[in-house]
Amino acid sequence: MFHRTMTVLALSVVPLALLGACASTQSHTAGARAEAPAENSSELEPITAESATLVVKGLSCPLCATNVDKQLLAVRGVSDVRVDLGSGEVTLAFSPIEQRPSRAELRRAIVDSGYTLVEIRAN
Amino acid sequence: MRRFITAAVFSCALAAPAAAQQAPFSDSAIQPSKGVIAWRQLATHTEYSNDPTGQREDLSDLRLTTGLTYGLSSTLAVEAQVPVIVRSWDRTGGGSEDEVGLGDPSLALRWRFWQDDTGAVDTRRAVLIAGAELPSGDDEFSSESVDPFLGAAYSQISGRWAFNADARFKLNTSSERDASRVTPGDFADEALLANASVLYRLTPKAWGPDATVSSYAILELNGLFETGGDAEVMLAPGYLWEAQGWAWEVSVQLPIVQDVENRFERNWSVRAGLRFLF
Repeated sequence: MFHRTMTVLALSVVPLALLGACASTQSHTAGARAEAPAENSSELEPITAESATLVVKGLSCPLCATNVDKQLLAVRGVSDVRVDLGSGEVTLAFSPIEQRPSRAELRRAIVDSGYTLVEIRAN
Repeated sequence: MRRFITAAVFSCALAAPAAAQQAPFSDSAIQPSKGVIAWRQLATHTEYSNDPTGQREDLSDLRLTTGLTYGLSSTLAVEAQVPVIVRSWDRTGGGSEDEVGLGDPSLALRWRFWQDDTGAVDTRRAVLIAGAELPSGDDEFSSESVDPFLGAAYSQISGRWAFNADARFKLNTSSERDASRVTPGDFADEALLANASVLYRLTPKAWGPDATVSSYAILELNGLFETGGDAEVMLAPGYLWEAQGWAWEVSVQLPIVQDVENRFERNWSVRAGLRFLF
């Protein structure tokens, strides 16, 4: 009985620890994304357009595409994400009050989501 | 009843691994991305018969499996599963019994080592899986041993079709051979689990900007081969419906090949589940 109780308590701690790691990882992710290598200095500059379209491959399905939504909505300046599974186009709307994201930040978000980025088009 | 409620509440405190386009009884190479949590809640009812000890008849097993998969990076994830088991049977000669308890939980790492995204939704992926089942401490439902396992899974999505294949080898470190144990693949023998599944997208016929939900017909082959000689191959037709952020699944599993002498035989299983992404 004691052994079972200790096992139950230990297993209860595991998901709490994971949730705590999740919170700390997401804050660490923002810092890591800003330091991701870019092809040139323009990659680090905020996008000036009001929206952008990313072409992505490997989106798989609606539930899978939720990963893209979550990674991109965590990028500062992104206010809305629409995914078209037919064309692989991910349309972003930017916040009118926050600083626009850079191409490097968007690129990193797609990498973190586990899919392949083909191109970024500023609209 | 109170034990059942307590066990069920605990099982819901954790969550189950979930991957889109993963068949209900099989694994896949799709996993949550960095910082994302996948929660899968499963209820599996299995009917057993032919107790090799002759002590029990018509055993029913309801397994509430909850699990959680967390994306450590874009290619690495950690998963945990905990089964709560409600079991009832008739005693040979009369009378019945029931038990509620905790099955052996498992912890595993999943590493996607290969990926080839070939279209907007089309992809091919492969993962390695390494982990262990841990003793729950429940004498009735636990193997009472730490049992490591190693496996791999492959997934391919092409148009309206998806194909998954996975295999997992589990080393049962317990030397106790107890024929009253029920859970297949949980005895003193080593176990190889091998699955293959095909999914066909019923809706939508074609993806577009307004298509945010999908449904799939599923057919699986689930194999269990134990070094003690017991072997089963099950056929499982099923259905999956998914939207952005969540999905539900249902499947029936029936034996088509069964050569079992050392434990109960599985007559059939029904599984239903929910999946969420946070």
